[in-house]
Amino acid sequence: MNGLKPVFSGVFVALITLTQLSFAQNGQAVLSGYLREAGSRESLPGAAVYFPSLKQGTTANAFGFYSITIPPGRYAVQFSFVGMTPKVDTLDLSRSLVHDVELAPGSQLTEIEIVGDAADQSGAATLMSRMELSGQQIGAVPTLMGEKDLFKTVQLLPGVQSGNEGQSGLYVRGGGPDQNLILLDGATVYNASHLFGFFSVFNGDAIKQVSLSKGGFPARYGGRLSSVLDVTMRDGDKNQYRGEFGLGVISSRFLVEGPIVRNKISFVAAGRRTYADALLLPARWITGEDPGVGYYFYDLSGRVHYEINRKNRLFLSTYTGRDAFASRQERDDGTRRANISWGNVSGTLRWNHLASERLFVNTTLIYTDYEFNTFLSERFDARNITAGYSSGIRDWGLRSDAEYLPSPRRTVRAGISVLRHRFIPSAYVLVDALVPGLGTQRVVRSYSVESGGYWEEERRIGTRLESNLGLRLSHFAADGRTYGRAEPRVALRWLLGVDASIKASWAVMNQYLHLLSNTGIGLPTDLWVPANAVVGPQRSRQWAAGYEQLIREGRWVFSIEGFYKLSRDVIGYRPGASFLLIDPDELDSGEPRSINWERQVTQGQQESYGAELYLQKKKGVIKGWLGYTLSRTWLQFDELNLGERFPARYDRRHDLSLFAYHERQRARAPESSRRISSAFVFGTGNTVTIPSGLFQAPFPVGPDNPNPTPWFPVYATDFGRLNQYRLSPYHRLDLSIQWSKKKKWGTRSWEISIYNLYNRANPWFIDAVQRPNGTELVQYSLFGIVPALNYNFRFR
Amino acid sequence: MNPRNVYLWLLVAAVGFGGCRETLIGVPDIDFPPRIVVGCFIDPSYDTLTATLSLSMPLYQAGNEEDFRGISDGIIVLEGAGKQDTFRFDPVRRHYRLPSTAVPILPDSTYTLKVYRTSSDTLLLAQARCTVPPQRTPQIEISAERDSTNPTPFYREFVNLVVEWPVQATPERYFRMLYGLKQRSSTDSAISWINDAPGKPQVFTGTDATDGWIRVSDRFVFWGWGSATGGRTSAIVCLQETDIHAFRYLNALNAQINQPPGPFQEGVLLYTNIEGGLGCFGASITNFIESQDL
Repeated sequence: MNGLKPVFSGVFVALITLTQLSFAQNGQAVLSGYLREAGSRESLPGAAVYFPSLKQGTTANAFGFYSITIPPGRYAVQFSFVGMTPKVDTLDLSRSLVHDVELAPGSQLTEIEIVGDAADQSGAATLMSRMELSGQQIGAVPTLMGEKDLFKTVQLLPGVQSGNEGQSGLYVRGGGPDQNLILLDGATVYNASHLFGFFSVFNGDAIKQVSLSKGGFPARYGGRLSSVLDVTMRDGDKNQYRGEFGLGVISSRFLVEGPIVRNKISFVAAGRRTYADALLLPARWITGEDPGVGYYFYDLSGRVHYEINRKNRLFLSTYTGRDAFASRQERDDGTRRANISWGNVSGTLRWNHLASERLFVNTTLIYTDYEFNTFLSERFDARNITAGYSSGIRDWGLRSDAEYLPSPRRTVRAGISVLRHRFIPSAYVLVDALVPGLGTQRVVRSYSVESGGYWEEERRIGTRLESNLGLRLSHFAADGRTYGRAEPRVALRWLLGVDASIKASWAVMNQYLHLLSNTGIGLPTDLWVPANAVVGPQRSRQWAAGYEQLIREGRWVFSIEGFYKLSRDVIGYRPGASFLLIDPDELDSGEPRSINWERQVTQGQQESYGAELYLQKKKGVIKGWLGYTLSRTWLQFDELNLGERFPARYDRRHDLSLFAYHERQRARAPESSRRISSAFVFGTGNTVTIPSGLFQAPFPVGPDNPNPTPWFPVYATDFGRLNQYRLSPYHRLDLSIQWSKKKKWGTRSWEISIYNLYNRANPWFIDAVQRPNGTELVQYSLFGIVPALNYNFRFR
Repeated sequence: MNPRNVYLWLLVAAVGFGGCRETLIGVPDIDFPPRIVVGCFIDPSYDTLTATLSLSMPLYQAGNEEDFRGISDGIIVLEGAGKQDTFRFDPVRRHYRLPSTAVPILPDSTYTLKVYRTSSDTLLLAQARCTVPPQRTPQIEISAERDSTNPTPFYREFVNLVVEWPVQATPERYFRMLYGLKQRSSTDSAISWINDAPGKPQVFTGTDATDGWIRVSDRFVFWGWGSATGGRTSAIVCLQETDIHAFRYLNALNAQINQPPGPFQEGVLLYTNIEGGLGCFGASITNFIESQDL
């Protein structure tokens, strides 16, 4: 821990200096406060504050707090947020003023707006490769079986690719799913998928805002190479109770929110559960036979927001979700049971503190736990075998972030964080009543500490140049090995006029955790392990440059970005790697040894480059966006593919997504509305490794008989080169229509969604099938056209 | 009928289109020609060096069945230790042989294997190089216990075997370890090599060491009707220190053989150091040790 001392002491000195500075600005007036939604008092992160006479402005932070320092005077100040009715207040700022603002929601039709870069109302933001989505947008995207899914929406953004058919995994600028930092109210979510990867764990009803950073990372973020997906839950209505429930094809869900103490403490709780297991019950009643299998998943999330006073606020956020699969086989002589379950539990306690009107401090206590369990029991006559296996990762952590706003031209952020990881990459019990002495329990645990400190300074230089410069110092200690690294971050923006800018960024990232996956299907057997002396941390450098243009007074936004990312020491799997971590052949030996995971992986280099185009329509009857990515991703490992570079499995030269929706109220019945939304995606086919031939593999046999022809021919398969075959392109069109009508107690809506409208047979996997006249490749497709019907009722 | 209900019925009818479907691709649009397969493993303890030569069989086009089983008109030349000689084809065993006296195999020496074929006008088809590991005498330790029970009407015997040898925890050391039980009775004397087959876990690197030792443990169970014969049994271990090529090839071969079937399994490429072909040209140093009677 000695290496941490300089980091912590330096950052604490910086925080103290910020506090001192915050009281040292004389001759200036500070306007500060919170921006909220009228009625519910939900905070409005990203809302804009603008002084037209000064041509200066700022935006609210993630908790809705804003602060701007200006010369004393009397000003007209604009407050605005997309989907809300703008407000102009004339304020006497001869001295500093605290001014909380509530914005009224716009009409139903303007509720669903692209948030985009809210800062474009006060000039484009400096940070690039960053996109934001609102909960309403997530709800508008047509999805598989009507399940609103955050990841499926994020996959429509340029630079983000989906994995296999139907999968929720995110591949951002060529990086794998392990390289994404997924945060739910500040807590890391290690396994973000339900149903073997087909749905994400996030319930769209409870989400307020999502921000995705693909590059140009500010110094406050670290720990992953490719992206940061920051999910913020809703605060809950502080004035009245509201709720919503929905019935879908595979699941039902609910959301309730309201005040615990009016205008002081609010809560929001949301949950959903599938009922595939319940749907099997009629089959049992009809056939009289137990189907013997069952599956369900559920998730529950909640948040309590307590405004202690104007300067102090507390947020308690929790999430728990679990998938469970069970099978039971009854025979005359006994029973076999098998269970697989996995899930996340997370919780954060956040304390917002206004140290002064210019200094905002947020301190977060973090807990997160991901666990995967299997259990097998066989009871046949005298034989009684019990075997279990589990793995997981648990974090306890603390982080503190300070934001100091000394002037409209300068924002300083600094913070520290420390996380203690507990890994269980292998734990099992094994009992066999017939084998004397075979009763084994073993748990292999390891611990590590990940910490970091950062300094980030956003500064406007002159009228055109704005910079965001930062430095992050990261530190990791595990298995007696420590790593300490510096991660510089640079982002620059040059204004070309009122509505156009060019941007550039450079970021260095380190990743100290590795994800070991058994297959590409996203099975929950994924294991997180720490970097250690044998397998070091992964690191990347990313350069990006782009151009952004607002068209027709911000009705349209056009941007184009180019990027180059070079990642070193990324993880690749040696041939035949398996991460069950117990050799199945040794289960009968009574003392199975853990497989050395370090031996199963190799480290190499990943190179991604490309261009992203984004055209977004933010206002009007029809809204949506077009995203296109032209990119390549190459891998090179000394121990794979004979050392030659090869394309990544999800290397896609072309990736196109088009999302549009139209919403209107009926003139004859204004209490009714209809929304039509559609999404079209096209992507170059994934690469796969296919067999190309058979051969007799030479094999040296016993040392007393040095004869290279073994006792029997060893037929091996020649796979040529890795990922040399490309599947056919992937494309589909999804459509959804929603009818809403106001009723006495609320609003009810019916939604019909159709996934893969034209029934395209997209490749899921291919197989080499032996026929009488030779071997042929056969492609398998998973989903044809999948219609779904959902019913929702929102009451208040 | 209400138009909305028409939509609903159409959607319900469309459910029938869903589900997993197959589409025939046929032959991939990539040319996969036959590739030459070379196998040769050299060791200072071998009296005779052997090599195999064959062609792979393309999956999506017709191949030569005869060449798949073995090529007899090849020319295989071994160079090293200042000497050079050509293997001779043995038509009975259907592989190529060379007395080790022709090209002595020495520790720490590098050898080159070149493959030509007379039918291709002595064009060089493939070549490979390997280096014999340095001579080291590892301190192999065997711990074996024998235990038997006689629950009628059959007997059951257990042998718990632990083999360990010291090695630095470095990835640059490679081993192949075979072990077996040598059973002797008045009528029988034989070695049964337990893990002497492709697909068995038998290769290790220095990174497998814990506290400076690589340990391998196994438990054998023997049973039969009646009672145990009571013959003499000892454990025997053959530890080969190999070069990186033999290790990586055998490791990949084991991985491919052990890979469970499944559509989502990534294909396991067999490592090869044969330039222009498949297979392996590898080297090893062999050490034997036998335990006392158990």
